[in-house]
Amino acid sequence: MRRLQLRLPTDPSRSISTIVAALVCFAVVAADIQVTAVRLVAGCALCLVLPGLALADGLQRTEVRDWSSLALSAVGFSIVLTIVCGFVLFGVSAATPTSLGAVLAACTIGLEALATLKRSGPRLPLSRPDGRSAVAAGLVVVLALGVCVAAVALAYDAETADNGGGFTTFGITGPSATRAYNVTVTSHETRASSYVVAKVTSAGEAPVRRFVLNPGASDSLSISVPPSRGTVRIVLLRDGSPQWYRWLSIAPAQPS
Amino acid sequence: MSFDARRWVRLGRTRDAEQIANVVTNSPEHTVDAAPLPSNPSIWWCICTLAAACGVLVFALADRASREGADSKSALYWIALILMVLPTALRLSAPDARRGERLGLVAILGLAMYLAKVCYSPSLLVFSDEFVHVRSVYEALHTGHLFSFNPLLPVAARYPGIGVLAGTLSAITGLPIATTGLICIGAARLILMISLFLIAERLSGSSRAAGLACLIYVANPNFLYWSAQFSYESVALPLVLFSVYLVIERAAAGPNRYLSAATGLTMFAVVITHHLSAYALGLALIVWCVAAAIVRRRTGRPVYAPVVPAGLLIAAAVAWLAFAAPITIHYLTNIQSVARQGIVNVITGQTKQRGLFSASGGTPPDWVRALSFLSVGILIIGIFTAIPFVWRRRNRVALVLALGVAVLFPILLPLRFVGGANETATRSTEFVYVGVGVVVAAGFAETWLGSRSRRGLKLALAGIIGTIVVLGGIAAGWQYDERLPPDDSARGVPFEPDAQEVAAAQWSRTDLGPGQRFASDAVDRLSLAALGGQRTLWAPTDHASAWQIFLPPTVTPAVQRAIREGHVKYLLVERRLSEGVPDSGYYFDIGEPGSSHRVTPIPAATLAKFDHAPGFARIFDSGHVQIYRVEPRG
Repeated sequence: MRRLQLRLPTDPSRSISTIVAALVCFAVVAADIQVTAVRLVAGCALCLVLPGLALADGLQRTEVRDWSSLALSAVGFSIVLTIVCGFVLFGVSAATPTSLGAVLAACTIGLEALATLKRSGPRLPLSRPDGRSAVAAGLVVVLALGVCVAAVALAYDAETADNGGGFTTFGITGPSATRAYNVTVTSHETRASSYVVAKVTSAGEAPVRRFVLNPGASDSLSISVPPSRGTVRIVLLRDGSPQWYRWLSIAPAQPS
Repeated sequence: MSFDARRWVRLGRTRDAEQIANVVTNSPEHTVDAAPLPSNPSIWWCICTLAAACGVLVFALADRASREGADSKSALYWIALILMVLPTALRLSAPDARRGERLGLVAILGLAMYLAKVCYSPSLLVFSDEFVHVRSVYEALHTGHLFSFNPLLPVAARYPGIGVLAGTLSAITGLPIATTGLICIGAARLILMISLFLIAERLSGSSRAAGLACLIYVANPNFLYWSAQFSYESVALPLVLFSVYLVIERAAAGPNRYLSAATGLTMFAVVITHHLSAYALGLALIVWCVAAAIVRRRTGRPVYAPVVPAGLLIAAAVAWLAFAAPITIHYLTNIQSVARQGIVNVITGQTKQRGLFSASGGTPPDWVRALSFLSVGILIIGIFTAIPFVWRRRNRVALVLALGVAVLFPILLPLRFVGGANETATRSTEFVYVGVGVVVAAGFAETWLGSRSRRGLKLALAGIIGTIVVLGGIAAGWQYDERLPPDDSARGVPFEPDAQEVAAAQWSRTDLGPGQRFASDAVDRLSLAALGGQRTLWAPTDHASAWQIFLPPTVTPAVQRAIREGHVKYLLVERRLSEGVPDSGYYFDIGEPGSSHRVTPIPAATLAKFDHAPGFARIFDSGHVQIYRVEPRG
């Protein structure tokens, strides 16, 4: 077997940057940092850029000859490596954020090290745009990105806006061993609404609880229902109206 | 800086490798400009980029108008597409654009079209195939199992590539599945556009032809929505093109173990991500090997044949099919037999041929139909006029292979007239347009745009023709009435889960727990299985169908039997089913009585039958969605 000869690259900055970036991203993931934007950037870099960049580094001087093929290789190989590493970890039921991050970071570092070992000379320089035109292109891209973000925000607003009237969900689970049922009311209305939960039996309608819910809020209550031959209804009234807004039923057990 | 392939090869490669590089990919005159970014960004580049961004913004306005039921939605939709396509088409036709500018424009066009899909529904994945794969990601994340049964599409569970990718990203970033899905497909779209550009550039020897090839590919009817949805094919197809690019690079670079290993890894990712993509890639590599052998024999020159990649890919695909995904055989043979039966029925006159634009979702106006016909006509003419160009370069194996793929386009068109085979024809366009784009653009760039006479007029015409081809292709690709989000205030049967249905599915997960046995209509089945994690009734594998439960006007013994045989524990009723007939023609599954011929909706009383029937308790109510629990006997 041919002995690998370690030659220090003459342009080690990118290799070092890639390795440091992988370690930082892994640290962010492993530390479970809750700042979503930071974790988003770190996670995306670890899954969609860094492993492929390290693998592409091993190809450079031959196949990766310009920014387009470098970008393609970085994203393409990253997706491939994420699929393969994830497949292995999910396959052995060892997929956790930390293990996934660790394997992808290890991949990045290992591939970068391998690329350094096999590289017999400096990388071919990638063509770079001159400073002024790069700034101009960058400004246009930033402006275009801003317009696109505005577009997606507009679409998100339209999608989540309440154009067809709000609604309230009314659900029941149970019974528990003590014949208690758990009733949940969740408001998806556009304004605060007052509710009354009532129990309707053959004896009539009896309010159980009154409350106010803001949009997006939820409330739960426990209702006991004694064994009955008839169907018991749990109804929801809204905003002082006597009309049943929602209703649920608790059916007596069906004879065999 | 310019890049000379021959000179570069001489730097560190053998003479054989140089010859191989010339024969397979680069002609001796081939020279590419390697400046990838516009070293002097032209005003055109800025205009095209901003126009594409404005196109996305106008698309978002069209979506908004559609949700509000405004009449301006159609005008905004077409303006948005024109803004995205026309400036780019004009610039890609121009001879003075640099390579990097073209590549940038192509990437921006692809991403702008993807953002148009994102604007359709930024917070939720709403297309039916997306729910299938959301379920797979959910299973991977919450159960840790890759091959758990997927009630929406069992075969999808056997190809976990997309589930693993989105699941890993979701686990690492902490983002919801829908958001990570959007990011994954966006990254895949970038790979697709750059790979296609680099492949086309290698094969045609021209960055101008490469840019036009990408423009033509964008015209494939599935590009705007189908290929942009969160689906296994949307990830696999870019990886297929990436694999082809790597093989072409290997052909040019000569033996390289590192590159070979990377290519093998990429192909393995394709194999575990999507069945048909892997088979299409395998077939293309086999044909490439055969063509290379013929050229080598005819010319006596060394020609690279991707025998090892083809062999490894086929071995991996066969092994995966045999040991991990044998259900694929049944799935694909079923599609194929439906298509074959459809063809036989049309030929023997048992069924009428399918009318064009007769897909569910409304009929487009005449001018849109004319645009589609024009698009197809231009491409067919383009393919045939490009044949002499390819023939003169018949030693370039991959270019001949691209022509072979392109010729499938007119051959598959008649299948559009056959009901059962239409889907096959439509789905194949994502692959076929790769060949169409490369061949038509290469021929067009050399023959029509190459001459210097009336250059200005020709360039303007080329841009307009490119725009017509793209808009016509998009017009042919999606149900016309469903190309924008539904009107929130409109009554009728929903064709995608809305807020109440999503809320019901989420409630079922949190309050009932996942894995419950549900019966519901076809649309709610998606949200229940994907967002609720429930086991929904699925006619092909279960002993009962949902229509047997929901269609009878009362709770008859047959209904009780269907519930029992289907082991159904919960029923979800969508009251809006009584407000109209679905565009698909069926409420529950295609096997229901009256499917595709239904003219009157289900009576409201039929849907309300569980309210008063003994043995059913209404346990969830959100207005037009109710869930009933089937009470155990005794």
